[in-house]
Amino acid sequence: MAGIYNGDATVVRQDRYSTNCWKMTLAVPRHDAVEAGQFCHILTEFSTDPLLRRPFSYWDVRDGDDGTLHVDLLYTVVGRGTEAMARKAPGARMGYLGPLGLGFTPKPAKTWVFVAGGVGIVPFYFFAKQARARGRNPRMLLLFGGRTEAMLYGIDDFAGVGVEAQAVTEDGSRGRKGLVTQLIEEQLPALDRKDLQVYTCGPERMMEAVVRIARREGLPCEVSMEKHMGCALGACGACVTRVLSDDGADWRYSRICIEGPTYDACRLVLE
Amino acid sequence: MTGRPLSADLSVTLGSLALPNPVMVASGTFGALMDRVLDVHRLGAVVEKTITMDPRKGNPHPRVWETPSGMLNSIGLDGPGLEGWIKKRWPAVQEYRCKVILSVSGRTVEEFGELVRRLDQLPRVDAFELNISCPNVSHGMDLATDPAMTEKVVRVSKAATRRPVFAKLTPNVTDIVAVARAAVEGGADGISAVNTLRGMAVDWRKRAPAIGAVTGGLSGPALKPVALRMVWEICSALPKVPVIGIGGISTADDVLEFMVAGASAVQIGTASFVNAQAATQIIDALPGKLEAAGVSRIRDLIGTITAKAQKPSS
Repeated sequence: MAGIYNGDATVVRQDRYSTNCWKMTLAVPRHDAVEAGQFCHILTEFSTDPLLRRPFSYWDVRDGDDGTLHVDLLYTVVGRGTEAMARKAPGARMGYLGPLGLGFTPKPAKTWVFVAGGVGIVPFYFFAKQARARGRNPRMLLLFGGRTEAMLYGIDDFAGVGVEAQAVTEDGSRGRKGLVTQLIEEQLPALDRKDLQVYTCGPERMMEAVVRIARREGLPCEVSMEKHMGCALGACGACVTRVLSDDGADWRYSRICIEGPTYDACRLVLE
Repeated sequence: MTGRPLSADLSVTLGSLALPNPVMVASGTFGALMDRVLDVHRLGAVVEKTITMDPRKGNPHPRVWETPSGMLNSIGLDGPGLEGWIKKRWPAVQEYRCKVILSVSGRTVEEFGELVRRLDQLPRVDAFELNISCPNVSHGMDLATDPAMTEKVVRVSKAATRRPVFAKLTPNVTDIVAVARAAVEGGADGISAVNTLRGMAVDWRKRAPAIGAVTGGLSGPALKPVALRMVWEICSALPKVPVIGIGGISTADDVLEFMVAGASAVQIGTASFVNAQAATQIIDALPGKLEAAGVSRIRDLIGTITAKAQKPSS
């Protein structure tokens, strides 16, 4: 992580993606290659209120035609920071710190199953795209749950990176009515469980349920966590999750900004 | 003035401790990967995260909460303990070319002394800061609300080292001067003022506190006026005692305000979360500010405020 960039980013474009969801492209100086699953820490306003940065997973990263790196963030408006972001027009500047954290581990399994809930979809687009670009050819299956069709953010983009997508919604507006965990249970019998890797990102409750299914079925699983963050450099100790201690006898708090946000599900201690 | 290199003298002294500039990073706000982004060697000093005798897991999540122009934290002094710190952290810290101040917190008065004694054996420690003011740990460690205890802790710690010892005080008191006076009585070489102010945030929809430990310590710009007032009170009452100003400092102007109020140096905390390079950017901005004001040595500003604290009229 020698080349973490800390400085200004310029908004190149911003589009409403669906209800309450926006896609913003930022231009930043070229920095360390981004591994899918890493994140950047965004200062939405140069002000004291809101004060702190917000962490965002990368939706996509590519070389811009102007010598900069173009970073796409797909985000939902959940509070004051993201409200401020949604108001930004091209040319606006924000603070950028990244890339940070550890990305997903591309496993040798023949089938990758991405289990996503809501805005937890974000890291999977770049993960699939990057893996394909690097010549990896597992079958990629996305199981995506959202409250409504409008909350299945970016689902139609996944075919373009070789991912089969299946959806459930809580109101039945697209796909079956239900929860993503029911979709996993339905799909499992048809999959070769001996050669399967699960990756999950979404609401904490959903990820816990996915981890429990993976443990029950003996499936390897990687989880991408999110917590309120302070510095994102491991200094403040704000964003912690419980993991097994190094000797396995106890648990300890792990700082997800530097030891995560991706974790092997085996290491997590569910609260 | 164009083209002339900025040449203001930023050096300051805290008793016997000489610093190339007055800007330090505060305990608990620096460490891990921050030195990959921040050029630590340019700082006046680094104050390490508080070292405890035994490893501590720290408090439950959520541990931080943003508030208007500030933040609440309740981390709970998580850390690897003395042995773990020496093994995991010291190898990196001893390479820092800036001054190194170690922050310690004991469960008892004696444990403060023991921590200082053990850490004093490390070859390049420049000073100690006694964290007697963390609002987020139980077992009555908020010693700095009690002048008698403050004096005792400082005395025991001073007996364990020949290096300078600073007492870090809490703003959660009615009369901080009484506590500062007690610390000096116990032998403190200076005062770090202040730690965080106890506060709370509520998520009314959940009928729940926003912070896992219910209350937390307020830091950031919202704390600055309170910290500035307390620094001024201490410096007015104890003009010969070096004071390190802490509380919401985010800009070079903030630094100079604290110094005019009496601080000989400052610590940057929450501002480093907002911008990991805040401390060095502040150092870079100081010479221009001083030149524009016709000040050639930053130390000439210390305590130059015209108002002195008034004794309450009887």
